[in-house]
Amino acid sequence: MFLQKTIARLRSLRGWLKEPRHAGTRWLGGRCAAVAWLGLALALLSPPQGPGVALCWFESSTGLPCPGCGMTRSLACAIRGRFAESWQNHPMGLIVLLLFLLIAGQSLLPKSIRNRIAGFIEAHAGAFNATYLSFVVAFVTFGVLRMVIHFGDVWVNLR
Amino acid sequence: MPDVKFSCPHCQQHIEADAGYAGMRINCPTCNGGLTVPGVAVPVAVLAPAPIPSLPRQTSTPAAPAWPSSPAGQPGALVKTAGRQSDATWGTNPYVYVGALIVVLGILYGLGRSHPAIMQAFLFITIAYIVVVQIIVDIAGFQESVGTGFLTLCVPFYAIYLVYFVVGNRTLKVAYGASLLLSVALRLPGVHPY
Repeated sequence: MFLQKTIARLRSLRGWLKEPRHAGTRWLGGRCAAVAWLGLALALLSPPQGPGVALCWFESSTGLPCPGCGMTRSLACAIRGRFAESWQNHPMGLIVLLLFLLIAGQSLLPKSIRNRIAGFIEAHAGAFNATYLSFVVAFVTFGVLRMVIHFGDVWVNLR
Repeated sequence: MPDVKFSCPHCQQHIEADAGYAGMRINCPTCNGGLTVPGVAVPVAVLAPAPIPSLPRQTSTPAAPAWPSSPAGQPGALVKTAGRQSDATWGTNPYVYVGALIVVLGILYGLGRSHPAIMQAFLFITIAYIVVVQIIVDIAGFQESVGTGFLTLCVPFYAIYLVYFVVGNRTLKVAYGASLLLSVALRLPGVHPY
């Protein structure tokens, strides 16, 4: 039963990877552009050492960093060219900054060019979907590993 | 003809089909996974003179636009049912599991007020539960797009909107509701050591 479910999920994942629908909007949709501009604005305006106040509700509830904790500081460092500090705050900060710059940049282009870019992504949906999946898996895996490591500290403090 | 009610073996979506579909291979309207409609297949010779098995009864949501392997191009003959108590066993009801978890955590918390070791168990289970649910919600956000993923990650109100108005998975709704309640409970004075 479990094996059958796993096989069915793997098949649906394989189908999803080849699915061109939404491949363009997944990367470059309107919401992505809004978030990219917001992220860049935060990176420019916030101090590289952070605001000094815990803003993450998840961390304040559980004592553990969420997968996105440190991202604003990492972006703020990366946009100022302090790449080593950016890496220390969040290893994916540089990749996310590059992604935000690309998404924000393409949102300034004329609609005809944006449609051509979206068409290119949909024509190569397999590669773009696989990249997207890898990005999400890497992001979540990093977040989980960091939580597990911090959970050790929390557990020691609890004892 | 009488209906056949069954669940998708992949996603547990409740499906209702006309008895004429018994034994046929179809795709789940929710997850698109292949499944066989339970029941004994009616011989073709018997079916032939009869009218096509009675068709669409749109009880809740419109049928999916294309179900490649639904019989004879009759989309809409299968109906997703709401999965209410009446046609669902308690074992498939998320409220049972989440309710049980809340009760267990309540007992642990009550006992833990005088036994530090039990309080540690309470905190361990609570934090682990919140972490797992949060990761599932984050993944659901990233399933939509990069932007939705980051919004889900960083803006709790958007995560609530996503779970309750976009995703539409009942189990996730119940699990996330409990997770939010537990998060609030952990922030009450004297509960969490931080």
